[in-house]
Amino acid sequence: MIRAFERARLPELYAALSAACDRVIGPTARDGAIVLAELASLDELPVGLRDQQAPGRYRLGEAKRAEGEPPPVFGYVNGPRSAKEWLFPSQEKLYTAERRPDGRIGFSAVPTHAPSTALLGVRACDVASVRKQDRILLEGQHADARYAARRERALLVAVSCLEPGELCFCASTGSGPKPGEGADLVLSELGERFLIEARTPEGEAVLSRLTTREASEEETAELERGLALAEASMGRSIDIAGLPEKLYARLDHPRWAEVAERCLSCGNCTSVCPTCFCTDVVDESDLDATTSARTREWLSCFSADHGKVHGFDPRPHTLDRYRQWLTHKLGGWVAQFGETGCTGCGRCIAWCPVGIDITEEVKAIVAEPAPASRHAPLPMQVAPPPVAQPALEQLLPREARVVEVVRETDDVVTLVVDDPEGAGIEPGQFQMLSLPGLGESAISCSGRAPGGELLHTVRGVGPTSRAIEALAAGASIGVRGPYGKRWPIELARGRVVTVVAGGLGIAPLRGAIRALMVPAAGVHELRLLLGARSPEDLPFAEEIEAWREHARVELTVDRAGPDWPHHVGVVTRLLPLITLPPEGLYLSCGPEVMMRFVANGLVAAGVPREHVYVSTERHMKCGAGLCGRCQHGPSIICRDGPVFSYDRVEALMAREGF
Amino acid sequence: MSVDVALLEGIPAFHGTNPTTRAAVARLAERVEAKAGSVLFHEGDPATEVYFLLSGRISLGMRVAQRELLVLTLHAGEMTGWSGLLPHGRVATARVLDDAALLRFDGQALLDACEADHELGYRVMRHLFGDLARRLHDTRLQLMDVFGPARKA
Ligand code: SF4
Ligand code: SF4
Repeated sequence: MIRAFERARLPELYAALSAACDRVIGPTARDGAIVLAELASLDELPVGLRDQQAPGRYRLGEAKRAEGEPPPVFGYVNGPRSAKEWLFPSQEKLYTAERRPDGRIGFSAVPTHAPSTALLGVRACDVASVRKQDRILLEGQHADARYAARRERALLVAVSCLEPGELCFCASTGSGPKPGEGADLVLSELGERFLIEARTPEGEAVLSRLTTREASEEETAELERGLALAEASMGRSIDIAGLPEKLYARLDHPRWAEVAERCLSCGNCTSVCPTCFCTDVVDESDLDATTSARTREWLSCFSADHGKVHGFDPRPHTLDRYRQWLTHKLGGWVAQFGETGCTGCGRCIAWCPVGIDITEEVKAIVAEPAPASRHAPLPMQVAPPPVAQPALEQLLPREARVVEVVRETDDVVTLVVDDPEGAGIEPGQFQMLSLPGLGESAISCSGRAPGGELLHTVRGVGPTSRAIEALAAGASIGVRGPYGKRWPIELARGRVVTVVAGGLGIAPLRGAIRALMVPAAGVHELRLLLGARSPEDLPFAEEIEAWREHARVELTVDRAGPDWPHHVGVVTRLLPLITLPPEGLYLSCGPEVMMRFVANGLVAAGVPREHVYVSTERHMKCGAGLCGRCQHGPSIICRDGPVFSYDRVEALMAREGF
Repeated sequence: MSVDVALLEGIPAFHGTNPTTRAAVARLAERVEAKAGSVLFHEGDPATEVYFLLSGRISLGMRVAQRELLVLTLHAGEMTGWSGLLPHGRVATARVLDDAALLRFDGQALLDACEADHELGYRVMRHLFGDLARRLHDTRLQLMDVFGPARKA
């Protein structure tokens, strides 16, 4: 039910919010902009002010008002910063790690700063943005524990938008002008009166402390009229119907190159966007390297580090990055989280130094029918439903002991790690291994030792993995996970199963191969086609020889000495040596280019793409699907993969810039 | 010389040729067997013959410094010794890995037959072109060293 109160009673609302929460955050005018800040009193509200906005332009001025009307309290549109920074701060220390004199490592979580917080004056678009972040950070398989603590104790006091800003288009993204689900209280300013509506029990509790009366029919009608007018007066829009498919069908549109000419890759758009959620972590050690701290920070997809893995940046050009941001926000987001990632707040337009307008870009790109493409169309996945009981993810490693180190090749070792908490890991899943002060690496489990310890096969390439490779038995290591999806071993029953691995790609498959060999797996016939750089670079050589008892094994290398009795040549040359039944099951792991040629070879031989599984890799930074770094078109690799059937990833695997 | 025409069935290079042509080709061919461990030809030898592998495996190796490096393994259906069709010597050493059966042609005789019957020549050359393109492509992938250590961060 909608209640009403006179403007003079607004301080009662402030008092009620202060009583209910540790702090009240609301709009203030600071440094020439509307900024959400902790309010010491209502005097700080930007009464009578309005932010004039245009592409690349933001200026604070006086709000227009009709004759006889008081200066509006909530006459502003929105500032560069949103509710996001109070629920998901731009920087946050996650944990400290300490190396004790006995060599062991202690990890201690930094307690979450989560005072109960009333957010006053949240626009409809920002209510929607909070809900969009909830979907990612609270409702997936892993919930961000810090966000959850703050969100749980937040009270959203929304304000209806009766006079949209020049850049607003929330009506077209379905986020406004009427504040939607997620608000605890909704305020509407009608001159001298305010209407107020409680949408949750928490909102109800606050409302009950105010002196209000029932809103008159006239007043609610006035509000409805105002909202309808606001909706009709928005000068911009994005047609979100079918937009993901439309955008992904136009990845080669010339407009991407045109906008990339103007875009500075500065990342302003991502830092003002209330829904952007990508983060980085920074590890800092003190001078004597005994303690270190890990801090999480917002990170823009325009930054060179965003996708970089093993020194390779999959999106090196501004074109790739702009296209990534836009196709993710309006396309991949729908596939990942079931709704568009844009709330129509207009911030990215106002704060872009060169005035790039997302609504204009979308219009230009989808204006014409999609051109014929030499690439396969990208299948959109259906977003997984919200998880009712997500695991609270602290992103905090636990200490585990390396009980043995097995040298496999010159630069590859297998660590035998005693990690009882990770015992449930399945073939294809990975863990995050870390060393304090150095960093973390996503490493697939390469099986289990007879004693139940987890095996991790590591090649030293970057500073972290080199340090991991150099560990000795008895050392301590940080471990998180298991994360990700496993190989579909259960599909192997009764089928001819072919495993094609190259290089270290055998490691994520070793557990699967072992599982496929036990009679209980019911595999009709097993073949292993394994490639390596040279005989000396083949890990698990002894074990592979033993596999010959249960499987047909063909080994090939890129070069070998004269005594090598097996094959020389690329792994795809082994495919003609075996039958390739279409109803067989095919598992492949190795460098992306290898998997692509293997999968295409199988497809050419008549194997349906759905019967071919590959394990993909992108920047797996948090492992839990929370940091946004492993984006791959419609998929989040840590959540939806790394194991995918080929039909899901073919279209992007063949492309540059993803 | 001469082999049963049926033996040509397993050789993609002669697919699509007509029966008369195939019979003529069969008259030029000789079936030979080679034991595992033997050497078909050595790098640097004069090249006069070409082979099509009917069964078994052959490895190709090249000398690098004092050592032989294996660069490719050939399987049934594939050709080896194509330098026998060209005016230079053997560029690699062909070792028999598993007992092999091969069709052997005198390179010049096969070239003459192709010259005399352009239909045959076209089929053979077109097949060789595809085969060599595939090998070149595979060689490029080998050169990429995709299994080597990734670029360092
Ligand atoms: S993409 Fe732009 S308009 Fe959409 S929510 Fe982000 S900042 Fe607002
Ligand atoms: S679109 Fe604008 S704000 Fe975003 S990175 Fe490019 S120049 Fe910066």
